[in-house]
Amino acid sequence: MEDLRTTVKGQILSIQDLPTLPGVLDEVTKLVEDPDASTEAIAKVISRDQVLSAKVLKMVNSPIYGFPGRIGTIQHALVLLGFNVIRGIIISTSVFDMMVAAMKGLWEHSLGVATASNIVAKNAGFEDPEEYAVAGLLHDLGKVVTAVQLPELHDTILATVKERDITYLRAEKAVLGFGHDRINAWVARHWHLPGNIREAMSRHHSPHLAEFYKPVACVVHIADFMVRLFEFGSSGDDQTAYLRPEALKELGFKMSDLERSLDELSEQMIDIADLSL
Amino acid sequence: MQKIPINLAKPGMKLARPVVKDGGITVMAEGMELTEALISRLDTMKIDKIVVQGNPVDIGESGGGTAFDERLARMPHLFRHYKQDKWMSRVRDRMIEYFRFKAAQQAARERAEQERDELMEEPENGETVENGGEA
Ligand SMILES: [Fe+2]
Ligand SMILES: [Fe+2]
Repeated sequence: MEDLRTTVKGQILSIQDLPTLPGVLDEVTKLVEDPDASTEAIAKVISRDQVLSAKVLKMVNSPIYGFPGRIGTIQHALVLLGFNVIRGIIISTSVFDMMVAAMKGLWEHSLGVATASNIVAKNAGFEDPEEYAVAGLLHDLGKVVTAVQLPELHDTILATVKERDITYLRAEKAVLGFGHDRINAWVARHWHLPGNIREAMSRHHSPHLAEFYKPVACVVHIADFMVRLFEFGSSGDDQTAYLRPEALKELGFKMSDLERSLDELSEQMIDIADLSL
Repeated sequence: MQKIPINLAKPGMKLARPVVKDGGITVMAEGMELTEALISRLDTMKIDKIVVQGNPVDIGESGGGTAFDERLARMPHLFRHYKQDKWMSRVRDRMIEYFRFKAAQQAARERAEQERDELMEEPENGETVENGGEA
């Protein structure tokens, strides 16, 4: 198993065909690290890629981020939402782009979890809920990476879900030896994502084990549970996720808080239902 | 409420969400009742989807949605592997209770809507106000 893991990790991270992120992202990341660079300069670089800019504007104007239809420029988006959110959006749309047709269900699931994460974070009293939303948007990206990098193994995973009636995560573990949570940790590191988003991606199925940024892992965990209740989009199986009581406790969430969040989610789901790539 | 493609819109349906154009301009208010004229106007404005009250159209959606009675029916299936788990059984029962309540609420609201419509239609000789709920 150890060997398979090393080979598979190698295959997944093999640079030449890892989903290529738009070139502007590298440039932008460098600019962000430069303390002298202005938001204006960063916005200019992103705006050069018109297709990308259009997608980013479409996403930031969706109800997920709480400013529906009010953000007209990339610069405005950067000021309102911050670089981490914009970068997360660029990564998720770029990676999903390659898979639109086959992974439409997972894209919808991810949009749902982004929306639910925003709602849960707000109800838990956290600041900057859009940071949680982008963590939700990225939480299952490892599934897309498997589908792109290892299409045959991906098919085997899907077949295993059906045959053995187990969750997608269990099937991944049976077929690959590890789940998308592990893949998430690798790619998040590979793409230099910030710690809170990385932790949410790698711990959304086991938030009680999160060492750092536990709250964001717990938010995305609960959001995933909520979206699966509605079966909004497709997560790869037709089951609920185990709802960790520790996650509710971490946020000080009672069942009534969960239900209030479900109320809000059911109101918002219809608005994100056809937010295509 | 349900999101439907404009070609399935029928007179008498009511908007559950305002119709908003790309630039963020509201062109029809929530609650407005659709007429043939309004539907063709939406069509010329290149609006391709609208959100209407109730669940008037059977689009054959892939399971997910906010028809709460449907959610209620799905709970045992979604939780099927946690029957032995005390905590998850409690969560399931709570969710069943939640969706039962929401389904009842939804049904009651739709019934009230209908009754109100029937009352409205009688005295005015069927004549409806041209610009809907806006005033
Ligand atoms: Fe997951
Ligand atoms: Fe998920």
